[in-house]
Amino acid sequence: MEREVMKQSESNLEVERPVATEMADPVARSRRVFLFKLSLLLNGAIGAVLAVPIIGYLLSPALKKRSQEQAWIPIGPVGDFPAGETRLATFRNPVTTPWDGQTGNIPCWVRHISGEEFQVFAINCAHLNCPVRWFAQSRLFMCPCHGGAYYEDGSRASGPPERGLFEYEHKIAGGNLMIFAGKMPTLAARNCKPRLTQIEPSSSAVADARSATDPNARGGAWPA
Amino acid sequence: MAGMKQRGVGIYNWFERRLGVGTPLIDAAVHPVPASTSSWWYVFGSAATVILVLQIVTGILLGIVYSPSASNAWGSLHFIDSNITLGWFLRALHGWGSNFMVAIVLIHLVQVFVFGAYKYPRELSWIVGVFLLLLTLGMAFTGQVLRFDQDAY
Repeated sequence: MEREVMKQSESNLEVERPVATEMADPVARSRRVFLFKLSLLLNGAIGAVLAVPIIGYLLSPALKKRSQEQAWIPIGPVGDFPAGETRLATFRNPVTTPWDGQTGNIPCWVRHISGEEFQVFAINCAHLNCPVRWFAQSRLFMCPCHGGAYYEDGSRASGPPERGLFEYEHKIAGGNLMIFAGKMPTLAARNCKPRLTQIEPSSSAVADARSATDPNARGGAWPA
Repeated sequence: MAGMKQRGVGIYNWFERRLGVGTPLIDAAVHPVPASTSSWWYVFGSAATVILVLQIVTGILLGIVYSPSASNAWGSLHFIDSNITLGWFLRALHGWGSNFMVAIVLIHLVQVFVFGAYKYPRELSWIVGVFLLLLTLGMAFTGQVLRFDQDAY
């Protein structure tokens, strides 16, 4: 194999020369071949010097440490969220840059159940990430895009989403409600609580069983 | 060592048989040319092309992060310099590439003029070349003021 290639390159350089063994052949050791190989080496080195920063630049978001992506963020004093109500809160994405402007502000739904019991939902529908809206009268989250609906505890009520709303980890510190945010809370995020991976939460199991047996609900869930 | 070389050659041959890229390149590299035309004065045309491609690639990459506003331009450049892997190097490549491109294009045009290469049947090449020089100067200027620093004003 190696011999064949040498023969080929030799025949390219000097067609009329008879093919000889590698070391004995003066063509393979000529200044011309040496300079040719040297130029290949230099071009390769320059190519590497240019390629490394270009690829590193493109991959730099992936090379960042995970700890920089997530942070505890205060989203407001506990008093701003009356018990039994669900309110919209907005926070600044910790991985954003100052010139991201409005796109760095992220809304979320805060449900104060009672006492120190809270739920903080990602605003994105679990179907295709449209922002869901809270309807206090019907006590449902509704998605404007494809009709996804969720109960007040975030579990799936009907529509195309296959699971409930995603939740942020939260805690109360110094009278402030804090959430652990940065990356969107999805199944891929590592810090999801185990209950987030359940496709059908137990509290709505009956309702989902009902909608599963109802042919009309099925038709609504999977529009053609 | 010999086995590794043989293996590398085998991999090269596998791609070469399917793509056929290497052979024409080697053919072009070893193509005989008259001794009178093998002058270093002729490298500036292709050098300008290489730098143009480099400027386009690095410019697109910088443009991904750059924020085109007076209040945030400097901040986004600082972000490129300090927060992105080898971002400072890419920015330096673009900045120096801009200077070098102006110099190399000028040398190239001087060479064409001195060698009389603008004469028939190349007069259209010369006219296009002058327009390309104006474009190069224009882009070198507009690129520099994008920094929005004291120098840009």
